[in-house]
Amino acid sequence: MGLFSSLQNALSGLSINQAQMGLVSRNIANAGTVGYSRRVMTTQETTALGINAGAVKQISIDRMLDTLVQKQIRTEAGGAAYSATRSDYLQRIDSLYGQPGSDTAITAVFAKFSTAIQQLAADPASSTARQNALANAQSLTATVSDLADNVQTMRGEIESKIADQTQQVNTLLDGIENTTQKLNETVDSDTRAGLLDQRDKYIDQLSTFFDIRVSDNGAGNFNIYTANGGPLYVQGRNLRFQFDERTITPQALYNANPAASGTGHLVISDPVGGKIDFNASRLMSSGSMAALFDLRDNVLTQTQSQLDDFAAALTTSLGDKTVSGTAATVGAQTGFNLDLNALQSGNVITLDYTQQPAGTKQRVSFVAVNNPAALPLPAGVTADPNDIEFGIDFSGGMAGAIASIATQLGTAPGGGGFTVNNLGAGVVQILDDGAANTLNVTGLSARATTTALTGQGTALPFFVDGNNGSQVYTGSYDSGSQKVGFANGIRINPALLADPSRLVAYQATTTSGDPARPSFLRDQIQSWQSDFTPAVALTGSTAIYKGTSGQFLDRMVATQTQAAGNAKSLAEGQQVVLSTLQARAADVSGVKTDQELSDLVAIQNTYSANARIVTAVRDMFDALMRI
Amino acid sequence: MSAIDLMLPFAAGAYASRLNTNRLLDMRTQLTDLQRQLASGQRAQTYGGLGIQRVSSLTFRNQIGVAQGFSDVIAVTDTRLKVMTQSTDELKTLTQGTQSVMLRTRGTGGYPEITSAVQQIQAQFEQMVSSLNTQDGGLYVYSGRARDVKPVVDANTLMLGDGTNAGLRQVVDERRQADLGTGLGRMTTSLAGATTTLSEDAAGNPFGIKLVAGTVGGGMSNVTVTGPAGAPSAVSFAFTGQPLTGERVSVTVRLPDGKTTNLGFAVDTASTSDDTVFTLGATPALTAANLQSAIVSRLTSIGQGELRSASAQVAAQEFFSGSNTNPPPRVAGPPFATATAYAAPGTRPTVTWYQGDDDTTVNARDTQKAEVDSGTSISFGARANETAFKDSLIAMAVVLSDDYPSGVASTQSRFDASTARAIQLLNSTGGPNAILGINSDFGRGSAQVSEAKARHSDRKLVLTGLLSDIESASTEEVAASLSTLQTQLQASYQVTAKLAQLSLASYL
Repeated sequence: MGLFSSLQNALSGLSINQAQMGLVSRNIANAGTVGYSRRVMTTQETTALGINAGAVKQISIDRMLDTLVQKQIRTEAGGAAYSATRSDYLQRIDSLYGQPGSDTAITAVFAKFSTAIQQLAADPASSTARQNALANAQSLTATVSDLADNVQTMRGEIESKIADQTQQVNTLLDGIENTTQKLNETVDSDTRAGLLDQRDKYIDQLSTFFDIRVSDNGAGNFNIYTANGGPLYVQGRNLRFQFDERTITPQALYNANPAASGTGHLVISDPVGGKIDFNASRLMSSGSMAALFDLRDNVLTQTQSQLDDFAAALTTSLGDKTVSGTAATVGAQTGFNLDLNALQSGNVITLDYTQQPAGTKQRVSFVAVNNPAALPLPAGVTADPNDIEFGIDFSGGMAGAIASIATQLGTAPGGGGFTVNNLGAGVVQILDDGAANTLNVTGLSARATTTALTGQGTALPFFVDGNNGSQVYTGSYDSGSQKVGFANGIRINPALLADPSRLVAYQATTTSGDPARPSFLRDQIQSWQSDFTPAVALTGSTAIYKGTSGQFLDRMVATQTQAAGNAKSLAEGQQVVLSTLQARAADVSGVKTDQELSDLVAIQNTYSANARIVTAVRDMFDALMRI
Repeated sequence: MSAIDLMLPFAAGAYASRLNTNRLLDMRTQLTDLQRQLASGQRAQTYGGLGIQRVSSLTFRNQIGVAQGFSDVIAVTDTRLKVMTQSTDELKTLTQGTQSVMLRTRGTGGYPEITSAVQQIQAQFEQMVSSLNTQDGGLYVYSGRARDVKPVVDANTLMLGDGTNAGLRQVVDERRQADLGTGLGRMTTSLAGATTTLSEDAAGNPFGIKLVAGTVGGGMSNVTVTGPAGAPSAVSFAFTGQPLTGERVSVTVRLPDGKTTNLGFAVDTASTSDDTVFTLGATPALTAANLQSAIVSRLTSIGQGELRSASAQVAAQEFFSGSNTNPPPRVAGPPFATATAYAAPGTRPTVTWYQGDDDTTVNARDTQKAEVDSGTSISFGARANETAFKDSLIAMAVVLSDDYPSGVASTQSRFDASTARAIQLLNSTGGPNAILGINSDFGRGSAQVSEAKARHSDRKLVLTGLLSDIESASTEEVAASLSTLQTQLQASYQVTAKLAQLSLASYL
């Protein structure tokens, strides 16, 4: 090996040292850059004709990256974003229910209303007691509708947040597409490392929106799907999201059919018209997007239903009266007569019977409607999940309604045995089959809503539905369910506000101190048990929940605040998992200044050594020349 | 907690120091929360923050609410019961006063004493009316459920009427005329041969003195007594010869107020105080005529004394039985002296003394009810037309509805007759003892209320204690945590600062 080759080697060493210096300075400079992973240089001895030539050359500049950890981070990031988003909104609901012990917490406001009615019952004539009852009722309705409005505001906010995040996701998809294209055109390892860092940054961001799975065969086939197979980035398809943002109202509910849906759908489409509906196809299972949809269509909708159920139970417990059937016997047939005149649209007639000889108990609920278009009714109109429900149209008069009862009852199990008679004047008679004894009618009654302040007994339409003027709340299905959004519209009956004496006077001759109506109101608030739908899911079972409005309210607050507590600890847990993974990733990819600086010392030394060799070679040549 | 603190994508190189910063920030947040707990005394700001104890917290709050509700009701009830107790006590004292005035003046008093007594009774009557119009919180307490209605009209209207509607004095006056008739208490006497007949003036006449069948007592030789029988009822004395001196015969009559009195007639000599003496005539027919005169004289005397107060009493009872739904019965007329029936109800306008709620299907006490504990209610309603109050008013009104003119011999006996009835009423269904019965109803209520009050405040105390175990932050615990955290935080700051200086860069 000659002096020239030594000089060559030393020179190659010097140039590599310079490149390494450049890398160290770059690493240190980018130590705090988001998405930057530490670069290392790979060098190799040069070869010529298969023989090692002794000089050094730079092979590549590589990113320090643990791809397994990177994959895990992306999975956990989706989960963490999901739980954090959920927790964030549930915390807000939790705080809506007020501070324990606060006077403005909904439970405290309800308790004060109950107390005010109690006082009114003890001193019905006192105008102070009356005004106090109304004032407390007003703050109750204000609190309930404020809560419900907040729930809808949150849903609306979520809807626009989804629209906003859709834009962000599209920007990320743009970025991924651009970097991927450039990557396919670039071979230089240093440039590639930069592009890969850039693309990973986009993908990391994307992983907070969706639960993504990245597949990269390393040969240019690079795709991103959600865990459930929803395509996010498929090479060459130019997929972008669209979201049809809607105006959110309590009635705006999700439907898999976008045309019938009250809430927006997230659709990904390509320029040639291919479309995939992410909601309808259930393609998201984690990530902030999935959390937002879950909140919008399940969690907050359920909160709204619970508030609606509470408002409806409170209103009907005060405003509905029971119409009892009277026992009737015709020959060997026994059954009941029931006066249907007081029934309002939405009121329910309940028929209990047992099938003989097995003794199977059956319950039939006839739901009054006043609009033929409302039929057939949706499933689960009543709280009882096991009853047989029939809609009865009263808009055509009593005769038609009773005929409809007869026809539909015939389709109930063993229903062929019933005899249904129209006794005139709005009275229906339902009898069993007498001697044949295949069934026994055990009960027939109805709950009817009072519509006026006086002349209809002690029940009082205390609260009305202010969503559309001031309608009496009957739970009608005539134009959609009146219950949906009732919590937002619950108001004190304006006629009652105009004349507080109606809190006591239930007929024209009632004296000012008559405790009958206030006592009725008090007893209803304290002990009337309403049925609550299992769909409202407070008990976690499919059984119907029976309780007073106050008990339901307590239960509701407990359940929802518990959900908030659970969501919070879940989110914190996810955060810990993510942090641990990030720490591991940082260990590999992070720039450590001390390490870089000690590398720097080594580089300096090597550089000096290489330079020394150049000097030595020069000295040797000088010596040679002097010979 | 901040919304989303994912740090993704993140700066791998700066991760360690950022993590450290986050930990420091977490500690600061904890510090702030502990400070909040210390300042507010509350462990959590939301029900969610209370953890699994939230259900207990809600339940206890609910129960405290219930106890508070009952306590509020009790406060109102307690005040009312005090008002009622005091007011009935006052009424009792008033009637006691009336009683003693009457007793003091009866029998002994002359004209000035009677005048002064009547004046006192008048004042007491007015006082009683105004007491029955007692209000609590702007609402009347003696009008049953019709609490916004003044229960009793003012004393002047009650006595004298309001121009359109007749007052008590007019009602009593008409009844007196109807009962007195021509002076014999609606009885007639006749003499046919040697038979004297005493007869009611008309069959079925509700007014005047009535013969009581089967009450003929004593006996006279040669005199056949027939009756009282027939319609109108009559008793006849047929003289077939002369009776013997000292013999007597008697018949009982009933005054309009139901009080009976014996009419005794004795030949020449009276053997009992009830007897009126008549002399033997020359013939049985003349003796019969003497008997007739004796009967007339006796009836006239009753008509001037006893009958007046009996009429007053019955008229007062009728007047005070009136209510808005049930107008008091009135004598048909004028003329009243010959009336034989009541006017159709409501045709003769009369002052309705009691304006309140008179639904007899509801017990007066139950017109106001308060639930002071679940299932325990206290009844504390009252009506001015309850018997105890009404009969006390009647007793006073009987005395006040008559005039006691000076210089009239019968003044003393009028006063005695009316006070006799009044005192009897005040000793039985009216007066202090009867009112005491009502008063003790309220006393009993008060006792129940105090018990319930104590029960609720105990319950509240226990529940508040339980609640504070759940919701309150213990000062000692928080203070201890605070100081530990403070030490940790200080140490962390120091270490962080030192570590930050420790870099290879400083040594190159």
